[in-house]
Amino acid sequence: MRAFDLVGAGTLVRSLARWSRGVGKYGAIARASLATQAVYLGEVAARTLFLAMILFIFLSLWQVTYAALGATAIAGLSLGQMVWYLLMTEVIVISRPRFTREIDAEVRSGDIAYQLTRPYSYVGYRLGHHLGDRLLRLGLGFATGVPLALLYVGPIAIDPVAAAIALAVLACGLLIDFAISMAIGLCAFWVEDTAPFSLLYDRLLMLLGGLILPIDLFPELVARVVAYLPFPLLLYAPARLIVTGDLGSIGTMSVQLVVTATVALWVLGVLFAVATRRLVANGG
Amino acid sequence: MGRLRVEAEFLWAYFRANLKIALEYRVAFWANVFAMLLNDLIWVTFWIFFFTRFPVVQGYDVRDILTIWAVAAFGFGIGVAIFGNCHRFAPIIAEGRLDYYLTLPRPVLLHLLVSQMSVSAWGDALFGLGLYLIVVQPSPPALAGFIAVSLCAGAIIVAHATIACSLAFWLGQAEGVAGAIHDAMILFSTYPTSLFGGIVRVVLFTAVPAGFVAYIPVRYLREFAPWQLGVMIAAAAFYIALAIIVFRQGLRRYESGNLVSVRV
Repeated sequence: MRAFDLVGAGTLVRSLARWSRGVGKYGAIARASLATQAVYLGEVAARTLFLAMILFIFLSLWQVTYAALGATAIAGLSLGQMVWYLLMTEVIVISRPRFTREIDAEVRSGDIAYQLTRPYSYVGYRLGHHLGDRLLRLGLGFATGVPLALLYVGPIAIDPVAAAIALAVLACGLLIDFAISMAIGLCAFWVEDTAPFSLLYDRLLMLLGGLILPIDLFPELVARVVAYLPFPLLLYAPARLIVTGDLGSIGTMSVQLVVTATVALWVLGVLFAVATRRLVANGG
Repeated sequence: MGRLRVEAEFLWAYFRANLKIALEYRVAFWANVFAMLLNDLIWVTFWIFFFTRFPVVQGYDVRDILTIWAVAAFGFGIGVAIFGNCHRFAPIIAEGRLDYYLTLPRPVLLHLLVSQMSVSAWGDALFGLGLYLIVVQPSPPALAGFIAVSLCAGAIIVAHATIACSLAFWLGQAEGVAGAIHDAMILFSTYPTSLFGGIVRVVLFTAVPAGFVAYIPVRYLREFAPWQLGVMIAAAAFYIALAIIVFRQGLRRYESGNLVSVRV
């Protein structure tokens, strides 16, 4: 019994060591990606300017809409909450790196063959790279967006518990978004150009995710259908959770998130396995 | 007059060559066009949702906003499809790669602008025209008016993008700034100008002339007052002239990169 314990403990320690080495490897990729992106300060400035403009336009649009209706709340959101909601969704959207293009290029040029020979999982490498890049963009987006929202409409009350849950929802959403985007990039194994699919996904995410218009304001039938799609989980859910602190639908949302993430990652795994079987490498 | 004809023939020849190159990858061409059509359709769907909930905002209804989109998409589409380099040439200046255009006996700016075609812009053009035909179901004179104001709007967008990219003559690496200015122009061109007041309204008729895309054309297509068309033509002529002047002034500061390259 004691010997069994020792063997079991040894296995556990070895597994943990392997796991931590694995995490360390992809963590290093994420850190390298983060450091690379930090160099592009000009791009950061351009994004900040874009964010300031888009928030200003949204503010103007919603200001006249609230004034025209004489309403203090629309879809349960005050004007201040609406602007903060739009800030959240906009920052999440503009923090999305266009990495589908890179995968597409790697597949078409054949460079992916070199990536696959390296001592790591290609999907894991891409995930690490993606997260490093995205976390920096999210951080910078919020760092520049929050002062803008404060300037435009002032602060709103935020429930710390709801904000923490919203961050978890956001993290899960990032994983789903990664899986879908990567799957689109891998379609380069079958189609000439994945850019149209990528563009279509981007736009569906913006419209059906509730980027400008919270889905409560969609026509009723559309809102009911959209509620079953993954898009609102990526934008609407975390943004609304932060600004309203409403935890009423957290149970359904959690189930939806887990199911969607599982399905998205499974589809990505299958697609990757099938795609790499099609890969033909000739020496050189 | 003879010179104009020669330049028009040059433009036509380049346009045909660009189209042939684009159509060489037929599937990719139509996929890009279709994707852009869908992209525009999705934005318009947002506005339909919005106006379903709030029927009139600041004097604009759903038909007005769809007209804004039709004008902006058709004007932008035609302009950027033909003059596809208009919002991309800042790096060419910064890296000293203008030499190729300078050594040939054609107007430098015209040659630079037409040397690339934006395939996806054809999707915008098709969308804009289709949207106007479906939503407004115009009479032939109304359709002619739509095409006229849209082409003026397109000329303003191209000229404005040219001015933004020409900043590279003074700033060096101006790709980010030019991109931000161009994005601002497109962004404000797709929202009702009446949402904005004060100094922003002034900016929208000067530095970022989106008012000539999103405001005057909609009024013209509602009221058909000849002066509104006159304003559009005058504004287009002004911004084209300004773009030519700014580019020429900038060209004096140009420094070659002495880059030896092969264009295929």
